[in-house]
Amino acid sequence: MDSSKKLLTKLSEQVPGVIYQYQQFSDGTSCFPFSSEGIREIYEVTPEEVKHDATKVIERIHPDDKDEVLASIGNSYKSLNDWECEYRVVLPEKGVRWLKGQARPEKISDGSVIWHGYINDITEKKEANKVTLELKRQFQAILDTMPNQIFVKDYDGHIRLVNKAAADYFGLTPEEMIGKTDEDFGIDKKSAEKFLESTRNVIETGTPKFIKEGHSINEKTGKEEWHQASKVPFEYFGSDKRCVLIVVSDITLRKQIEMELNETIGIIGEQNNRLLNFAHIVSHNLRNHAGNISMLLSLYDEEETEEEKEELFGYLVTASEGLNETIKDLNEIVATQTAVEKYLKKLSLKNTYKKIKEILITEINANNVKLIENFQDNLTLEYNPAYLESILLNLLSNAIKYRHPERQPVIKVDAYKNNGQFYFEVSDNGMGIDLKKHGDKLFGMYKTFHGNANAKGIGLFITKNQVESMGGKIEVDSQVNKGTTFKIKLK
Amino acid sequence: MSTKNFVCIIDDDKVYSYGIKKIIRRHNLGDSILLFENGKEALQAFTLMVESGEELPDLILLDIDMPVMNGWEFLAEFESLRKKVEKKIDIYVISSTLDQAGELYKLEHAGNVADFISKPVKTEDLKKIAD
Repeated sequence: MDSSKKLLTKLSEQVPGVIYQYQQFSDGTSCFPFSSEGIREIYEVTPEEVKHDATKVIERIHPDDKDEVLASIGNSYKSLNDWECEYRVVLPEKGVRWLKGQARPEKISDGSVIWHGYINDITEKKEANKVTLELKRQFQAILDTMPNQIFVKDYDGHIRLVNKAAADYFGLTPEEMIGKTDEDFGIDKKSAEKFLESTRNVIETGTPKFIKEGHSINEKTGKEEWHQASKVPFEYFGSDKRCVLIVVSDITLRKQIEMELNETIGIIGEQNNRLLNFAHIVSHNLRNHAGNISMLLSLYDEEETEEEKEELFGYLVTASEGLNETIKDLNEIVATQTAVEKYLKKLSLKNTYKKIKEILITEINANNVKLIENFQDNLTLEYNPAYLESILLNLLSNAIKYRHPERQPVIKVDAYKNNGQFYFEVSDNGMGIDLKKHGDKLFGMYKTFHGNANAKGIGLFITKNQVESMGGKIEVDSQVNKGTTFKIKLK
Repeated sequence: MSTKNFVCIIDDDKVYSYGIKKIIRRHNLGDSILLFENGKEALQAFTLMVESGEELPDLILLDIDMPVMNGWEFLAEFESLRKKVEKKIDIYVISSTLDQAGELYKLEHAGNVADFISKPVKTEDLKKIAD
């Protein structure tokens, strides 16, 4: 007996913590009939001090945990189930410590219960655990403040980790998403399969993937979206399967700005081309007129008869008028191109239209033009009044000028507002124009196509500038012998 | 002096055509002068002339930038007509807008055009042509 006790004592000294026997009697008193030397560390009491009375140990239990510890002992006493508890003690020397106790109860003949068990100090483990938990909380907090959608998915596409931005995107909480797959969030089967394949590919090859641009339509809002995503192989703690970390950025705004910018660059490029063309043409025309004048003048000196001189003089007048006209055109165009002051006014389309109709009344009556107005009386838009008048005048007078000789001219004017944009169309049943042949030159300067004596080839050039300098767009649709439609979108 | 006696001017600039006509007359560079305002008018007239056995001009001064049918289009159409007559017809392209299209045409159809002259045309140019 003694030798076995010695062996137990020796063995127990090698174990951190305390090996003990605890006995509770039916009257509620308790004691530690045996406790190893470790009790000096665990409770800062001696085995002798608690051999007959456990009070000293019970006093050491943290006041906040005392009830729970006693209740758990009480349970084990009644049920004879194993006792297990994590609790704090307040020690005279070491202060507050975390302990973990485990013991097996055994009822004996006198009605008391004896537990054989082991208690060890888990303070350090608890602290480490606390740090881990805190780190995890901080990590999640950082993830949740990111505007990017962040996911960790395993090989089967199950979500292991997700941040707030990603959950918000699907209208769920992060908790609701864990363990689910793309298809569970209503992503269509085909896309979900594609995503899973790419996830698996990253895991299998161990190579990160960068998707520069993905375009999709948001099913909830119906709006276009662009995303950028990067997928990297990822070892996720707590998952034995290999995972992928996915970071998705919403680049819709950037993309929209980029597209707008490209459109603007396109328009500016076009305008630049036209300006270049314009400079070219103006110099050409000025040179032609000037050349003609000097040619006629040199002839004038040598002319002998009065009659011939008079004829020549007539041509000189024509040439000088041509020069004048060119300079006038030049002025008009420069005025449009440099109209820095974008004077805007709320305009009633009906009033402007009425004004233009009055200007053109002679042509309208002379050619028996039928005008169909298809817009609401109260339609208004913010625009430069002079521009709007000029645009209307040009399009309407063009429609009359290029009427078909074999039928009554019918000109339809449509206008409406949609999504804050103002749309405006002028269609005629006139001669039409071969767009395949002339389409690129239609809005060019001094381009005339029908051999019409009144054609100056400057109207559409100016119209286009007046539309585009205000951020609008003009398009043309035409069929030879059927008619022409000009479509204008104003901002 | 003059070896070219039948001259044709195709140009939509009436003042220019009038001036050129005067210069040709004054310097005896041509006996008869025909004026057209664009390629189509000229082509229609030439076609009729060939059909009725009339002689085509010896010299054509052709503008490029014209409405309805421009100089290039005229040149393309005129080739088939040229084949029908045995006469040597010199075509001078006279234009102030000799752009890339002109440069290209020069390379590809050098044989069809005698020379390219830029506007404004001087009396000396016309004298050289007529020689």
